[in-house]
Amino acid sequence: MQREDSSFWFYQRIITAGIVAPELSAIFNPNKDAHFLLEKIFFAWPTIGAGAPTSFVDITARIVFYSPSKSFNDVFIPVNLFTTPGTFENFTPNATPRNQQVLAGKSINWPLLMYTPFEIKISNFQGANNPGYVDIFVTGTNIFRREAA
Amino acid sequence: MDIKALVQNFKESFSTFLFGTLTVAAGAQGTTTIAVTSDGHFRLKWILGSFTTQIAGPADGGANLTSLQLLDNGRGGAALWDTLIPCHLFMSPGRQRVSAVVGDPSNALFFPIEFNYLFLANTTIQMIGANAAGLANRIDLLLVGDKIPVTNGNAESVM
Repeated sequence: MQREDSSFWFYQRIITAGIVAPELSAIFNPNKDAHFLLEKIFFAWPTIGAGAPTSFVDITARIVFYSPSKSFNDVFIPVNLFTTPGTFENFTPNATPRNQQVLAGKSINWPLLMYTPFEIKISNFQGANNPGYVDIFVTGTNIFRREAA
Repeated sequence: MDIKALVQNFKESFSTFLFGTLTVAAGAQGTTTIAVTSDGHFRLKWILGSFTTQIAGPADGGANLTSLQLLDNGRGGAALWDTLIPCHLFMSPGRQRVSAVVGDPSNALFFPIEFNYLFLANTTIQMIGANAAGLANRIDLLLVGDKIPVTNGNAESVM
């Protein structure tokens, strides 16, 4: 019996603190029993500095697809342009919570065939404005194999 | 307004909420189930929820340290997403201030996020929560969708 298409989410946390590599990769492997329509990508990161926190981070991202090999964006793009607002209050007791905001992701709408992974590269985190980690949240739809009539 | 058509449509599907709540101990994982009753399948459309942000003190840190995963027990524990996801990424803004603990007010409008999934009648949804804080925190989850009454025609016809 045909299984109904359904939403599916992915998540990874990329640690950027103390890393000296030019870029970091998060590779996602969609379910092996369904194609995946990648719909939206969200980035989230903590503010920097406990005393006077700042939300500015110097982090950029690039989305890469395989089979065929193609980049969604050829140039690394600042993560704050992918997600609004993106930043959330760091772990400070009784601090004014700046998390009272709606997270809005960027539409990608990229179809991925079964068994096809995708990669999100993170770069430019070696400067002063490094939040320590970046959360990557991906939403989409599993499209199950259509049975022959 | 055609009342007969309204009644007929209501027999075919009607809106409903399913609710689950989970209080997770400090530095631990916890689990609970949400029942999908036998009278109908549940077509999930939207997810929204809230989480508390208590830390050791006690105090209200304001930052989320909880995460959640849902499993479909009607399909052998199939995961609706690939791992525990921090609640603030899909419960936006999400934070619910804890009463009787000093902290800034939440004053938040909870924004639903779209999630399409069909749960079978007479099954359960597993909520698995994790809490990295030094104090227990609570996660409330509201699933918004439609109940599709089970009839002789559709009782056996879905996976």
